[in-house]
Amino acid sequence: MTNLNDIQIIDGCKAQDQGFQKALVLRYSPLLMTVSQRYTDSYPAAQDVLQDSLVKILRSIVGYEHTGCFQAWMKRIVINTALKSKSRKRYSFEHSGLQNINEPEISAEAYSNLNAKELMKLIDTLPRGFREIFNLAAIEGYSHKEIGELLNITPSTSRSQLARARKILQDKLIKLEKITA
Amino acid sequence: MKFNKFDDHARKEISTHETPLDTEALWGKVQADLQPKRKKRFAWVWFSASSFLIAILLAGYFYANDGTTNSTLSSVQMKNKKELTLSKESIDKNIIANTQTDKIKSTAKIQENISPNPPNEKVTILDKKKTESKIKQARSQQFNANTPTAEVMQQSKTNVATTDLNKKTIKDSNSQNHPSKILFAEKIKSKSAIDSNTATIVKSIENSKSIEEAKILIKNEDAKELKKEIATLSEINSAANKEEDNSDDEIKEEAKDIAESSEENFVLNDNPEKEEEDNSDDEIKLKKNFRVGIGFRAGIGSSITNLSANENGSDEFLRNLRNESETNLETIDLGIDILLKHKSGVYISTGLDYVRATRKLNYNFEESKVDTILGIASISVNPITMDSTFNEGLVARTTINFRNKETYNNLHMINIPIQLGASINYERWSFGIQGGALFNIVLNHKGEIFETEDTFYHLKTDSNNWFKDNLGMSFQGAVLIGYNFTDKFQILGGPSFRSKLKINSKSNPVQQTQNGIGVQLAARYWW
Repeated sequence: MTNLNDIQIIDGCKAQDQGFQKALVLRYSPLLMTVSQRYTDSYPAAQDVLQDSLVKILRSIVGYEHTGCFQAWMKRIVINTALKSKSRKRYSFEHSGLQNINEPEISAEAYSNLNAKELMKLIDTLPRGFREIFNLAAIEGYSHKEIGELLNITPSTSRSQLARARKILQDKLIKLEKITA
Repeated sequence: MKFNKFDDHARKEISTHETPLDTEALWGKVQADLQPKRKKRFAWVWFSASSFLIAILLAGYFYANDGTTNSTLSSVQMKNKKELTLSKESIDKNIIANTQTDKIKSTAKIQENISPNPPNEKVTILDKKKTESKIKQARSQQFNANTPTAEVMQQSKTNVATTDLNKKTIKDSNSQNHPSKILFAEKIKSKSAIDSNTATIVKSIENSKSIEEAKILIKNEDAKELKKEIATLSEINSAANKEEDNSDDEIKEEAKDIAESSEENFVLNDNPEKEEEDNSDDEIKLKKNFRVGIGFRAGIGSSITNLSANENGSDEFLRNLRNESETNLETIDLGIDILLKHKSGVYISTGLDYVRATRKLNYNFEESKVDTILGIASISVNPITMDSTFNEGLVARTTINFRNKETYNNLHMINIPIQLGASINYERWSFGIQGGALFNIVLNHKGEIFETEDTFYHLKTDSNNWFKDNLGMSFQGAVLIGYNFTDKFQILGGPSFRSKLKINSKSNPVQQTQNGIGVQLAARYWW
């Protein structure tokens, strides 16, 4: 089962074969756990979201039509599940009215040595609302329109919150740079 | 360098990062979740099917047994009537048993004495009549002689005495004379008299001079016998009809029943035509045994709400929040019932029931809003001159609003009740209980409840999962005390309860069921 490619796994899962379903879970759950962790507050919550997401993936894979990246499709399900999780605390955002925020600049030295774990820790320090928008926009590559639909906010609010998140990260990176220098 | 470079770096690092976890254990959980769960909703299907079956069986039972008791009699009357019926049955059994066994014996014995070759027509008729008369004589002797059957007769007499006593008690309790019962005893006596007279009749036939004379004698005797029977029956029926009080219909029915029983048990020559008539009376009996009613009902009560969180346990907080913020208000219901009642007092009913359950949400809370404004983002200090510079930029602003949320949550539903009840009457009062299942159909759900700790869920019926979310089953029962204004119209009232009334859809993390207690007022009209 370890040598199976994505297409074989997808076809096996479509046939409701438990062997292929298990192969999918074993292969992709570490990757999807990373996604889940970025949208939840704790490890147990991330595990719950991942479990629910995998069930959804295995049930809805019948409708998957090999268009686009399979991993991206699964990640999207994990993100939607996490955002719609009942235990998730929702924040209300208010449009600031500031459309043109100057994006902060930062030297590459400040972050180039940071690995994934350290970067995730850094992003985790953001307030939840900012973190979600940063993750969706910067990491997943969602447009502000998509973010707006997902979080029930306007695209301009998403844009301004992203700018604010980046500002906070900049401050943290500067501090980090000073410490490491 | 723009911040986008940081985004690229973060995306590159994070998007391919894998977090180690126990994948085998996770697969076990996922596999368990993938198994199709047994659907509990089928439980109510089984319950309703069994309820329906029980109702059918009960209806069949009451139809098959015409019923010997009448619930409309008082308890004393009922007791006496039972004893009376038992006594009558006992007498009937004794007579029938003795008649049949002795008839066989006597026939055998008599046939030995009959001459094998009758000389002429007169002798043939005479022998035939002789045989009949000897059978009757033997039976008559069995009734009167001091033989083992005398004990049975003694028992019969005791039963007659008990019957008389019962008659007297009924008479006392009704303060009315009831001649049908006295006639019942007289009927027994006259039967004995008929049997003892048969010997005399046979003698007259034997002494007749010609065939014609013998025929006339036989005809006359048969006519007399028939006349007596008709006279007795008409007396009994007229006794029943003479009852003046119209409200005492049950006593009248009782008299008629006795008359019918007497007819069946004491007529010596069975008439096959009569059986056909009895069969044609089945429909009338059905009408007599069952009554159809229509009822209107209104009730008001208070609710005891039970909130339960979903399986994952993460909704406990939400459940507690709802418990703190929501209070029960009144529950009202209006209903129309169609009832089918047996004369024993047992009835089944169904109909339509509208329920409105109200809860109030009242909650004080803080609402935080985060936004960004232009402000002093940082202060730079010149280390040489020690001059400070205020750098303007975006700063976060948190606004906290204290708010009060108050809303009324109304649930509107239609129920279809299937209920079983029983009642007894005492004078004009009626005492009863009823209970059964309610099939709930949610019509509309208006209002708001907490969905998360800071968002509200607008209650509404879920059209996507209509069958799953808006159908349910609950139970209800009531104790009803009523007053019969006439034989057909009654007003009832009393305490009622309702349990496990389904309230909200499964899409909500906190499930809500409602138990209720209240009072009910009803009016019923019976045909």
